[in-house]
Amino acid sequence: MTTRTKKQGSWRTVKREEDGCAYRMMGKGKILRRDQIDTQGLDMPNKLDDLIHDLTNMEEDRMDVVLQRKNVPSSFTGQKMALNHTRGLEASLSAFSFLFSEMIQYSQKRVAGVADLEKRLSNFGYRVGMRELELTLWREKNAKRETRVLGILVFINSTLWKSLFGKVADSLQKSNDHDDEYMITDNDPIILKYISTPKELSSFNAGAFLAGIVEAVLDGCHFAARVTAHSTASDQFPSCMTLLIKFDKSVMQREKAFEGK
Amino acid sequence: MPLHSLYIINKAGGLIYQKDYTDGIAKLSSNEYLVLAGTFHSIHVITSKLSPIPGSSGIEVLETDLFKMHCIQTPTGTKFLLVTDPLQANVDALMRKVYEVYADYVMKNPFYTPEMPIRAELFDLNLNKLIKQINA
Repeated sequence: MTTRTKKQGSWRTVKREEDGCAYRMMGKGKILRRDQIDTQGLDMPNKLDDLIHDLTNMEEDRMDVVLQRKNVPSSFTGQKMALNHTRGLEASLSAFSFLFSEMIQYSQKRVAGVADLEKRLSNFGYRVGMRELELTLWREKNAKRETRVLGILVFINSTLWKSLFGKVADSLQKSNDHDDEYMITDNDPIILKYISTPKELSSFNAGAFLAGIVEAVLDGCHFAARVTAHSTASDQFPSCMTLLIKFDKSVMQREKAFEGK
Repeated sequence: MPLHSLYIINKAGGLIYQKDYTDGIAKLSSNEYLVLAGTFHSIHVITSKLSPIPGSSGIEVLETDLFKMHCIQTPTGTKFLLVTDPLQANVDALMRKVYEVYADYVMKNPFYTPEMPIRAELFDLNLNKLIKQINA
C-alpha cells in the first residue's frame, strides 16, 4: 500500500500509491498528510509542524482522518466520520422551533387556505423525508428492504421516529373501517411543542410537515401512500397528533399477493 | 402567600396580557386595564429619568401593606408585572420562569404577531401550571 522513499533526519517520508499522496512520518505511527506533493521536493512547510503534536498513534490505513485536529468539529473538516456519528449531534429545539415557525409564517403568506398551507408544509417535509430515509438506513446496522406493509410501518414507528425524535411513536393502529388505512399517534410531538393553533384555523395541523416526511419515506420504499396529520388533542396531551396513512391500491394488491403465498 | 395577577406590557405601553390568579380581585373593564398599563408604562419611564444615577432602569418593586408589585423589563422592552402577596418569597426566580414560558410558548408560536395581544392556548396552559405550583 505504501512505499517508503527517503529518510530526512528523524523524518521518514512515505508515498501512498493509490492517490500519489506523500506523507511524513515521525517515530512509530505518527503521520502527517500532505496532499498531492511531488515526491522529489519533499519539504514540509514549517507552519504545519505544530500539527504533529496533535497526532497520536495514527495507523497508516487511517490517514484520511489525520488532518482532523483537536477542537475542530468533524463537520467542519468534512471528514467521513460525521455521518455515522450521532451522539451529541442533537439539534437545538429552540433553533428548530424558530426555523419551523418562520417556515409556517412564510407559507401562510403565500397560500389561499388551510388545505393549501398543509400541502406546502407537506412538500417541505417530503424533501426532508427523502434524505432522512437514506441517512437512517445508512446508519442502521441491520438494515433490510421492507416488502410488507407491517414491516415498513414498524420501521417508521420505531427506527425512523427514534432517529428523528429520540423516542418511538406512542401507538400504531390499523383502521377498523378501512383495510388500507393505518394510524401512527404521537402524544407529545416535539415539533408541535410550542405551537398553539388559533381557533379560526382549528382544522390546520402543523404536523403536515411530519406527514410529508413519512410520505416521502413510504414513497422511497415503494409503498405509495397519502399521509395526513390530524389533531387528537386531549386535556392530558394538548398537542397530541395522529398521522393517517392511506396506502395506494397497488400496494394493497401486492400485499394480498404476498398473503396468498 | 399567593400570587395575585400578571400583566404583560409591550414596549409601546400597550397591555398584551392580563390574568388574575386569586379570587376576590376587583374586575375592571378592559379599557381600564389598558389605562392602568399605560399609566404604569409612563411611571416606569419617569422613575428611570428621576434617578440620580444615569442609565438606571425604571421602578422594580412597589410595596404596600397588602400587596407587592414586581416589574422586570426584558432587553426588547417588554415588561412583566407581577402582583403578589407582600410575603411571597423568591419572586425573582418566579419572574424568570414566567419570562421563560413567554419566550417558549409565545415567541416560538408561528401564529403570534409581536406586540399584539397574546392569545395562545399553550401559553395559558403552561402559565396556569406554573402558578398553580406557587399558589398551592
